[in-house]
Amino acid sequence: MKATIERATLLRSLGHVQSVVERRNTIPILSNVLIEAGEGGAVKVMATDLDLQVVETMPAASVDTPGAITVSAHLLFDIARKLPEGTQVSLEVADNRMTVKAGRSRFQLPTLPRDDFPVIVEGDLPTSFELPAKVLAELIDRTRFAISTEETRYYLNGIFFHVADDDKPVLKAAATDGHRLARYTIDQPDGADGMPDVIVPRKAVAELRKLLEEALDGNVEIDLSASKIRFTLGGEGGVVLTSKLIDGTFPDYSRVIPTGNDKLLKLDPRSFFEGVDRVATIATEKTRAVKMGLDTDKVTLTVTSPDNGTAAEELPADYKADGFEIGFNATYLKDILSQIDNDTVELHLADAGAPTLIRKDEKSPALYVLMPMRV
Amino acid sequence: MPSQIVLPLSHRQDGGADRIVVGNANEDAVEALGTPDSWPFRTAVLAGPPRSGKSLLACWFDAQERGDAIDGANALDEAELFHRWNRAQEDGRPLLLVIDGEGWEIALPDLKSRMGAALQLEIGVPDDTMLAALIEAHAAQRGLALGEGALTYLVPRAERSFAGIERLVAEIDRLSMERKVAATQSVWRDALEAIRGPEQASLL
Repeated sequence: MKATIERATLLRSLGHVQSVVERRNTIPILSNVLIEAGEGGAVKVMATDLDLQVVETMPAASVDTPGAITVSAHLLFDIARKLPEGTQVSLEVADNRMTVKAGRSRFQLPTLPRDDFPVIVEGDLPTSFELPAKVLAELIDRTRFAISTEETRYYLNGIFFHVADDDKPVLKAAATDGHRLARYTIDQPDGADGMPDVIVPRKAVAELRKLLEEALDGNVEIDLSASKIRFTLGGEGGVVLTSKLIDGTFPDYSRVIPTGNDKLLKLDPRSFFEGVDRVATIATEKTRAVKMGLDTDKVTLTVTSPDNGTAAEELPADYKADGFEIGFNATYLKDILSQIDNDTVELHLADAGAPTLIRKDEKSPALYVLMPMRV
Repeated sequence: MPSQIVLPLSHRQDGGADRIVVGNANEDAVEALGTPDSWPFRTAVLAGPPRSGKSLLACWFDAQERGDAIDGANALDEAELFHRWNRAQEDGRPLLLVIDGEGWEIALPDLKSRMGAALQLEIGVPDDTMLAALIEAHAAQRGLALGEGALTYLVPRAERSFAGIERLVAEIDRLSMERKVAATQSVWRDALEAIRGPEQASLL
């Protein structure tokens, strides 16, 4: 194999795939990236962790000898990063070594044969639809903070996608860690009808979101079965991310979304966020519980710490129901409030022990449920 | 100490169970439900402690279409029950009556004598093997992964009752979710403690 690629092109592509590669691997080839130079002057790079793979096709300045080889992903990425801007990088394989040449630099890297490189067998992906990259990015941003990181609840370690018929056909994405839940609803795209329920793993979500950042103007093609999902960005010559789906059952989450909470609190999410952030400064325990005292048209935030004294802040709000007190984890409240890009946020409360519904307004595609704390 | 309340997430819409654990406490009853034609007057009365799976067995019996089941029979009007029994006799259909709670005082003499003649089935107290199977079944249904050695630790310490086991697994699930940690020994211990107090009482 011999190919020459513009340094910036190489760096960008390696940047997209290298984060898939885990830093520590017991199987040596999983540390490598597959590089395949084709007849047509395009070079494909591919990385995998066996559950997730990313393939990117980039244009080469020239392909002299087509071929394929694998080489350490992080090494090649670090080399490309440090090469001078604007250089042409030549990749040449001979005698099981890959020679990387650019400007006055020359590296010889060990390789492993391409045939040993594991590729995820996609199988049949019968459901196909398209989403604007912006919509998909927003959907991920609004839900992924609630994904659980507790590994034994593996079925909560991702975003759950399912279709439903509410007033109209919709596609819903939900994530929860058992303390809070985020749901984002969009119109059902053509082709998603009859889609199986799927849980996309956290790492795939993170990698996808990174890729979307550079392709926000286009559409993303999504193909899936009950066990695999493939996201294609930028059409031909773009990036393809394929992931195994989490083999588990997501809880019946819709039952924890309150529908009868009759105490409505409306206030400015920004000053609410800042107030919570300020009073939580003195909280010592990990959970940072903030107590909210609700009275007619005002909220009093308080924190009492056995070591650090007390803090209180009063916020103007729109509240007409009976006064009561409720506690929340300050970090969770801030996570949700930072999702609200509006002048007001609605909190639908029931009592100090019941799920609280938080949303921008009733038309908002995003909806959050937060469980209170016993304070 | 403030603590997080967890979302009441569950995997099943109806709160029912996916399977029936068969063990020493119910194997006789399960076996008898398989041969309704051999019941005296094709009638059986199933009793057992709370949460022992009586209704599940009744549903299963109903679904097998070997006969009809009446859940919570002791709460029904006795005359109505007697009618149903008579109708079942006429149709030659086996009838399973599930009764809740302790004992069943029947005031109607006709019904009392018919029920007295029926096959009496009772779900008993689960042994260690069945307790272990019950713990596993409850955990699986909640999507709760119990750590290694959980059964060895929990079985000898748990309350030997169907309701007790269910409560214990629910408490382990809740604590692990509340703390966002895997269900390991510290969680098992705290769950046991939350249910029946500390193993070692405090001196002071």
